[in-house]
Amino acid sequence: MGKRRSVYLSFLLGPGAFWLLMFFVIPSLLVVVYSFMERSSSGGVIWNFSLEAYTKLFAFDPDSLFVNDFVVIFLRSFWWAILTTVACLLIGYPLAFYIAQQKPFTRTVMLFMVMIPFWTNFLVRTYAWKFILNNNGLINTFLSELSLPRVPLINTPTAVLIGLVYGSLPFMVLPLYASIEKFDYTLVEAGQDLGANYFRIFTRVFLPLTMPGVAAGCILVFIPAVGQYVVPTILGGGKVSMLGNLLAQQFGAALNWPFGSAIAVIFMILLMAGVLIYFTVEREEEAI
Amino acid sequence: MTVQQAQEGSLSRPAVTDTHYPPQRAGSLLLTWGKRLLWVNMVFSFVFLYAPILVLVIFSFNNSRFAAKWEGFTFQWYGQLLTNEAIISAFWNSIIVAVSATLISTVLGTMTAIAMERFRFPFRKTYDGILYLPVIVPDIVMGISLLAFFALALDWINTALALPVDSALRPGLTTVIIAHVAFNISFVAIVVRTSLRDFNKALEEAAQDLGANEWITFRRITLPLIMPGILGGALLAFTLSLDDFVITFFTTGPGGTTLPIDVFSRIRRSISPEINAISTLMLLMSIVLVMASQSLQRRRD
Amino acid sequence: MTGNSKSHWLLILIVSITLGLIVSACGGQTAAPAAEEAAPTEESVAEESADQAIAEAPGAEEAAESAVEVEVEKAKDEVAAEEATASDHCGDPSQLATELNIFNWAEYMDPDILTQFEEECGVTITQDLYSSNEDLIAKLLAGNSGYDLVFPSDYAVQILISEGLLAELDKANIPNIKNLNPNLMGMYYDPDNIYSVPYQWGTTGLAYNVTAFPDGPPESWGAIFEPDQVCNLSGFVTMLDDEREVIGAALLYLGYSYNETDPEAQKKAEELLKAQKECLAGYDSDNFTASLTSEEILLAHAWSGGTALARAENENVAYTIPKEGGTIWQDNMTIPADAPRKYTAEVFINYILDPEIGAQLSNWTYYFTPNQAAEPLLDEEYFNLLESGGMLVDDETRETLQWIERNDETIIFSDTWTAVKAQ
Repeated sequence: MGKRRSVYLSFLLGPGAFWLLMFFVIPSLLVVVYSFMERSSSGGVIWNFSLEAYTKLFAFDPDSLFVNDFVVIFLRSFWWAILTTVACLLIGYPLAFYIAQQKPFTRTVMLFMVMIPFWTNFLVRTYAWKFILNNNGLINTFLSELSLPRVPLINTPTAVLIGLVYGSLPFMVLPLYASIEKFDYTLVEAGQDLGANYFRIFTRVFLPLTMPGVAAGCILVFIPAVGQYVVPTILGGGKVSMLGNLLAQQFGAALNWPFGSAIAVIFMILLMAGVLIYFTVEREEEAI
Repeated sequence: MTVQQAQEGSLSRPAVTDTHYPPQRAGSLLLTWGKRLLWVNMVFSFVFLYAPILVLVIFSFNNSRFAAKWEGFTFQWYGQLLTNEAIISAFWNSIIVAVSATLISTVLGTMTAIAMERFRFPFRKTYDGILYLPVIVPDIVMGISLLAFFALALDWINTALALPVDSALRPGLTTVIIAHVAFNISFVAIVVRTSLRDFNKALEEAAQDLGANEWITFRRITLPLIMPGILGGALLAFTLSLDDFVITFFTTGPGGTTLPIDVFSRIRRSISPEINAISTLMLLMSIVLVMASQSLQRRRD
Repeated sequence: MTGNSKSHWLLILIVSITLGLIVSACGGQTAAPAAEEAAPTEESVAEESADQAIAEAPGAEEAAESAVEVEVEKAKDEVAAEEATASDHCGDPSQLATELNIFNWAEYMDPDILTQFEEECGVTITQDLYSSNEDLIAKLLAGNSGYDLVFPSDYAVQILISEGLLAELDKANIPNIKNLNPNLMGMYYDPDNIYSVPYQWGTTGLAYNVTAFPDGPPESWGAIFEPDQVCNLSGFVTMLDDEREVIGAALLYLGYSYNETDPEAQKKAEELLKAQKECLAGYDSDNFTASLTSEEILLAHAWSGGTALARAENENVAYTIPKEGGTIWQDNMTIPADAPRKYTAEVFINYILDPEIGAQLSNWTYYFTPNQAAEPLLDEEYFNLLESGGMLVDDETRETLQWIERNDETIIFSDTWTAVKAQ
């Protein structure tokens, strides 16, 4: 049996693991190697060991707001990603809850309705937002028709946040819906019979049981939001950089691959640490 | 994922239906207001999701090259679209890549998920972390490193097989599909695992006690039960694959332009109305397909 | 439960089959009209050139010939004659490959030119697109890209040559090189044009809306850099989203060269740009044409071609190069060192350098042609648009234009750019 199990296991795990190691892990390691090489001003790297990229990334700059400009961009990206995640959670949780309560047919259709806009190119949708938010755009035209003052929207942090939330909302709704749908409402009745009010039932019963969905949603929203570069460029007017812009710049116009790789390595270490902490917490909960 | 889970919930567990909806307690003011707020949030969400979609649909009929203002109704962009071979072939390429990558990654991702949930093996925790890599690694980094990787690998193969220059293996749609599968396996595995987690193993064991082998147990018991998760993973994979620009750009080769690459490269002259037109057609197609398949299934049930 | 899972599979099946059908239907429908339309297109080109021939004596013979050619082709009698004219364009058929892969900027090649070449020479052209020189460099650096012809800008040509990624051109296969303007040949990045021939060129300057500048075009870069001037148009001004162009323009305004890497000068430019940023709508390289057209933006740091395109839609948009100067850039046709079909690529380069094709190309791209022989054949409408819009470059202005050059020190531009965009 033991032998059969291991044959079965290698059949299940083998192809996926091979694919992932071959076409994802090995190329990712290449980035780690790049980050320790010398910069070539023609793009690529010169194959000599160098810590230049990392010393640049952590050098103290007295003119900058905090440590140096790169750290400032890191912090801003994380802050905006947190705001995006919170906003998505605030809109997505009740939406997922509402959908989960519908009849099966309505439910399915509504879920597809959430996904369908995402089969249209992201750039095209973001440009459509620009058209809505422009100074002469839909919202402002509407306001001036009503003889109300125009609101500056485009090229502001508000516009960036709208774009970020728009781009991430379904990735919050899908996992949330999955966990809310599984919820057994007899538990709520039990709580009511025990005299608990709705707020208590929500915080003590409902929320803890849908927590895996919340966690999965947050991971799927937070991580891509940190690396976004299209939204800040189009809706934010490219006035402030996020981490994604910094990376695109280093691999692009700057042709500084080692430095871009170093930024990516630090970024991945931070996020990996976050994911591992989440695993540990989850396992402890499972143990309880 | 969830889509089918919904039906699964109601179809496979008919006994649970009465406990499935929130209990109705008449006269609760809080509950009534709560429901109204939920409804308002739902309407707001859909307006938010569809506002830009509506804009692009309208502009696909606008008689101007630039999405500046309304210049009158026209069908000309749809006409031009049909003769625009570049966009049509890019659309084709996108569909080929998205469908193949989804099929392969759904199979491999599901197998990985089962292995992770059902087996204990050395380095399992490490592999758990590795599975999250594709979510974490930024696109551009992955694109650049895959570009170098495929170049090396293909060069090695070409040399080994001594292929002449004009028939040498080159990056193209195949390398794009390989790359998409690589990142999609993780997304599929993550979603499928959630549906395996609260899974009743007793059913599987019972089947095996009755003499069913692993394959039959899997096909008859496990697969139907985790189907919602698999479909969810597939849906996610398809969406990610269809819209990927950066990784696709760096892994593709001659003739391998997909729709996102076409769109990204064209923006120097602003989004062309033909792109709005094809987006509208794709939107229409997806809505029709979803509605048709749903009503068909409804009738079946 | 099994039944239920079957219905899921059914759903997937239905979705994929329907999708497949729709897709193939689309594909089938498009193939036919495309083929039907091909012939009339060529005819109309011939007619056009015939018209031109009436207006301009020197081209008359040639144009008349090609008009005749169409008739001949239709009759299908004198195949030999057709081949005789074709061989001028198509080089030696025995060496010509059946395919050609080109990698180009988007909206930078008239699709009709590709179709014409495909029909004349029986070569199937596949065109893929990129949106920055750095993306192109990355692809060629990896090697084995499979492309036969790429279109890098000036500094990118220099980088590609230094990395040994370009093939030497065989000039014997490109006799039309004689048509090129000598002023645009032998530039710093390839002094003897061993690896590259010019494709299109343009300038960087200021695009403005005439209603916002009733007293005439802005004379100095001060219009966009001096806070009291730019803040008058606060929220209606964009700069390009390009570290070299933007910092370079600031350096120029401060009295330095576009390529100055001295840290002190860079620091001054950074201060100037940070102050300016308060009043900018943003940095925009991709969408300024549309923004100028819709009058969402009234003053923009812009490329000449994009501005010309905006002017074609909105007469209020005009262009100027301030008295301090601007940049000149030039995209080039080059062949990667590992190109599989070098000869065919050279034949195609020669085809592009044909005076009529050169004119057809620039009429379509709205950029300037380096092809001197093509200049008299340019559309009058296009020419007038450039002239009235202030895009034409006279000798005096040409003296003030600078190339953007790259070397090991110019990395400082990226750090200055990060500083400008960090907060």
